[in-house]
Amino acid sequence: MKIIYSCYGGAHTSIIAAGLHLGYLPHDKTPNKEAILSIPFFDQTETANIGVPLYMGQDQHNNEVYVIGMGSYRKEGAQLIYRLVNDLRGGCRGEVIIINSIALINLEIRIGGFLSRRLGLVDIGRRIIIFGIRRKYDKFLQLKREINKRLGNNEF
Amino acid sequence: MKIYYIYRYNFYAAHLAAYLHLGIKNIPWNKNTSIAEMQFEFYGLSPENQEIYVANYGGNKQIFINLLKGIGAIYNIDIKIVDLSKLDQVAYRYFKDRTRRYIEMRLEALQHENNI
Repeated sequence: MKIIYSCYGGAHTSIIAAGLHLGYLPHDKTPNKEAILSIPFFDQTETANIGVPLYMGQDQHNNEVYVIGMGSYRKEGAQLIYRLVNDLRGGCRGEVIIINSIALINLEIRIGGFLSRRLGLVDIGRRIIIFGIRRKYDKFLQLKREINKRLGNNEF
Repeated sequence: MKIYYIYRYNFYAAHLAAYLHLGIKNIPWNKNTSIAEMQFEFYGLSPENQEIYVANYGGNKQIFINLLKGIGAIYNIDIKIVDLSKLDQVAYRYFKDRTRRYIEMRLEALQHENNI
């Protein structure tokens, strides 16, 4: 099955959620700056590449994990993907699941993301993003637990 | 191969392009139909067995194209996108002959490039 984490730009919250899913980040404590920066594709997506799926890896259940930024069109983009997969595979159940991680964003991540991706102030932007992620980390863990529970119950 | 004719405002142009590609001469035309943003509709199989779709790319063309090509790459599907956004200009929306000539030219170019 393909698990797709989506957010606005595909650079921050979805990358952290996918990284946590794949074991790049710890489950029992808040990660430090080096651990967050070591996740592939973190804070690297350019505006022209929003919408391009980024392959993050395979989890322990052999599900492929992707990250896609969808800008302001997350609802329409998700519908498009489900419809495409439905046409290709005859159904989406067990084939693809899209998890919208935009709700995990906070003000610090927004400001940091804007500074880094839009204005090119990468150094200061990343510091603010990491601060925001560490503040919101318990919510990322909660999402991961919920996804694991539903994967374990074959609810997808 | 899947071929998507994408538009934003000029549904007639994409509709015409799809039917010309399918080789259908009597083109059914209902002015009141259109396609929702970031959705597509299947029009049929061309004589060369290509699936022809018409899609409305909504507010952001780049995101739509990236999503379509990205999902195609994940599932190993050959997808070609024909961008008809040029025909959204006023000159094409209200002058159907000009639209038809432009589309016939683009279709010839597409068939030539892809050895169809």
